[in-house]
Amino acid sequence: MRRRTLLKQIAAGTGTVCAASLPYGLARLLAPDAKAAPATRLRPPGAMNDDAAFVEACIGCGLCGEVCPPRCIRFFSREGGGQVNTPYINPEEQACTLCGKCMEICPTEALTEMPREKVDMGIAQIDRLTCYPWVDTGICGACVSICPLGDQAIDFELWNQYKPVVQDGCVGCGLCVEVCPHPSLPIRIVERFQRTVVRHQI
Amino acid sequence: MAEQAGKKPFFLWRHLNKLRWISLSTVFLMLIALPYIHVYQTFVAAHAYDFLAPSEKQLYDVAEFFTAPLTDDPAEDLDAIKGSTWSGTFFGFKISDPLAALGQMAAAKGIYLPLLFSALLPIGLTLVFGRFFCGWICPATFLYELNTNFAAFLNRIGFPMRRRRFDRRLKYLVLAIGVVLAAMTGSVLMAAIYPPAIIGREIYYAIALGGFGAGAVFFVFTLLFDLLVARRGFCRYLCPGGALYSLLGRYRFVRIQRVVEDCNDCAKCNAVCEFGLDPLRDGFGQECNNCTACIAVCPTDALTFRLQLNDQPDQGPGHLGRHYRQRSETGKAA
Repeated sequence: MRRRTLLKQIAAGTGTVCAASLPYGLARLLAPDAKAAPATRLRPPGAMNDDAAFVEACIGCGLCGEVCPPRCIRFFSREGGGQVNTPYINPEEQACTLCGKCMEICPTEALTEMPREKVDMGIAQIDRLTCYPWVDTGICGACVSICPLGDQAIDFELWNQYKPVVQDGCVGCGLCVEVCPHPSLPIRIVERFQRTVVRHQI
Repeated sequence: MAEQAGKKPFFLWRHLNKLRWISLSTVFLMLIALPYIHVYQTFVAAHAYDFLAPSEKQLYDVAEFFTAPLTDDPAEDLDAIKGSTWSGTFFGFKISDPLAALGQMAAAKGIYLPLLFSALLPIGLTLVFGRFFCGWICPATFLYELNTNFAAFLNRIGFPMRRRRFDRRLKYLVLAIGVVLAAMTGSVLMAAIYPPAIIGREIYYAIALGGFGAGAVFFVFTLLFDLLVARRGFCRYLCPGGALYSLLGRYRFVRIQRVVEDCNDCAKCNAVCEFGLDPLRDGFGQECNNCTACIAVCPTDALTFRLQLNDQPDQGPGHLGRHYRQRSETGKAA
């Protein structure tokens, strides 16, 4: 093979690759990736555990949001993709108070009525390397005092009555996340199986 | 020629169209009022009056002025009426759109009885009155009819709008494809393209949650389609809910019919019919939504309600019209 042919072929190949990647680059430029739903977005209380089944059952009427007293239930818009018009709760903005009105009013089986101890939206998880009492930089107890379920959900450590410890009864309503004064929110709502893993998505 | 005047219809039928507009505006105003009431309820539940912004305080005061005579406990009692025409609750009685029940059944591939029960009342009324929802209740109809009037205004001042006609059976195809896609994707897709559901939802999002959602753009496109391409085109040719109601109302009991003895062939009924039907030749069919606009516009009171399961076949030219007179005179001459 002659050197000229080789150089020509290399140049043509490079040009082809560049030209082919142009639409991709343009597409990335014009439509950046839709923001993936972060783990902080919870389904309302009483929701079916399987999220695909929840989306199948939800008719997108918005009634759960329309009766919510703290107005914490929001709805996915275009960024939700297939979950568009289905409800979510972001406890960092506004948390659920477990009043149960959304479960009562839902016309489908997406939200079914249950006592609030049986609700399963997730479980709170405390980052003990950040939380003020756990790193001995102050006393707080905001999460314990706001909890609607009391000491079956979150309680202080026995030998230090300022360090909060999440108990098995936590249903993940997120009120503790809403009131937490620490800027990086050492308390988060995670899936129940993640509770012992210290891994926050900040 | 023997002058035989037919029986005049009951005089109140002429005024049903006004009642229909009252009904449409009431539904639409309710959809605007309910989100404000919900916002007011959240302020009450939070005991937050002292922390409100001045505009929110104004909202609180106005809502309190209207609801204080009705209830002592607004945070609880005002939950009596909630929702939209897609799904709502009325003093503890849940009512859902039949299309919502159908779409959810298709998506979940199973029947959830409470949702089906909540759709029974609309289904029963549709079996009797046909596609009445489209003419009397649908909040999108309110905007679409105003849109039609706007198109007529544009025509008058010299911007002729196109009035294309398509095949009315297109909407049954949309319904079928919607059901199949809902079953395949496991999501109630019809809710995203069904105008009354979009309207109810978007008004709530805009007022209570601070911004329109995904459906507002789609609804504006349907308005433009109606304005620029086909009059009431979405309802006539594309709406899956209209398709479902048309099918349910195929053998409706309450029908508008022409009294041929009183008709003078003026064709105002055909001109006013939003759904492009043919009252002049007794062509109502399953699409008629009993909106009574043709009854209101008829100059000789030749349209009335009858309790029958089927339309009459074409009765020929009206007896007060030119064609009938010429035909009878030529018949006499021959």
